[in-house]
Amino acid sequence: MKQFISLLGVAFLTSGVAFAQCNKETFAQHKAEAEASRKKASSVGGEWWMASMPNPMKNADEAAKAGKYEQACELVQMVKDWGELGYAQALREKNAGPRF
Amino acid sequence: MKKLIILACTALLAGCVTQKAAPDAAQPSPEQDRQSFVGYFQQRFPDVQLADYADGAYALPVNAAAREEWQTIEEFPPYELAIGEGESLWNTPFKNGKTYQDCFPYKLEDGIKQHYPQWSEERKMVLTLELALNECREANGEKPLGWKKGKIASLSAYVGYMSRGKVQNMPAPNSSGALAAYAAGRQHYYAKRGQLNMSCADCHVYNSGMRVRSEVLSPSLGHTTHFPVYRSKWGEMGTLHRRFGGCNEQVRAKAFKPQGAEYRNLEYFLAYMNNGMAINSPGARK
Repeated sequence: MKQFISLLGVAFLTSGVAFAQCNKETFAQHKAEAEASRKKASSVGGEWWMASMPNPMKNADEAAKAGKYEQACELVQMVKDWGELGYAQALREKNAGPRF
Repeated sequence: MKKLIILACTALLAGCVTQKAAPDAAQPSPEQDRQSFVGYFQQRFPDVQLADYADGAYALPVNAAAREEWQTIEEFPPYELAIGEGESLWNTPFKNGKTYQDCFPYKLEDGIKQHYPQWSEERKMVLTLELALNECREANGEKPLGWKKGKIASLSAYVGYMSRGKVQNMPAPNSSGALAAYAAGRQHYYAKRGQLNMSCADCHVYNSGMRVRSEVLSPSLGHTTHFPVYRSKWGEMGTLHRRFGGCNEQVRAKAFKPQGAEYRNLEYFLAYMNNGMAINSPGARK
């Protein structure tokens, strides 16, 4: 039991390192990850886009410039998620064809 | 033992035959594809004649009221000015004295649009009408036009207008390159994309005739025959690739570049699905 609790503790600590909080200090790193994720989706034609927010990375930069890191971080995280989902979607649809 | 060996051999042979037959079954020929495509719509809308699909959503019985409005619009069509501009552009010689007609192997009077899109074995790519028009300009020392609206749409409208009534008669893709382009267009058409996870087919095949808010979703059959169109939402003319981009963005997917390989291949696939239909370009749409 003691071992199990230690292991659980280590796991929590590790996940804490892996998903480092996005803030003023780590924003640049998160932004780079988001950009890489977007490019990966784009490489398979799976990039997502939204009319109400055509350029979220630009919005994130503006927010960061204004010191609104919480908002900037939310945006880069969104771009990262979009990239991952768009990439997976494009691969999933690689052999798409008619359903009739 | 002998029986077992015979059985094993038979199983192996049967396996080989099945394996060889499987890809053919999974990959229908473009013509089989077209027949299934047309058949689907004929079954879905049994009262609509094949030729009427060229009228888009206005061909559907569910849209009868909108059809009446559209027919009234067609009496004084908003694309008329574009045809005029296109005619003037077509007839104005380039600085070197040559004209657009010099770039095309087909006579304008005999219709040009019905020959596009076409697969170029030499260039290993799909050529669209707008691409051919702009390449003609560049070959004659003129600046290319923008791809989505304005003069390119007017030129395309004029060429389309002069091709009205001519039947789209594309040769079936048969070379490996043409088949690959066709397959890429087909995949694009049926692949779900964007945040809404929707494909072109989700709207224009499986839900054609259904409403999205107040609008009736048009069937894909006939989509390529009437472009470019004057779209009331745009308040101006637009090319097919402009519409492709708009559709992709509506499902929250990033649009591809107009006249890029993705949309040229998509146009190639769609035009082949419309093979045998008469050109009725340009059109007027909401």
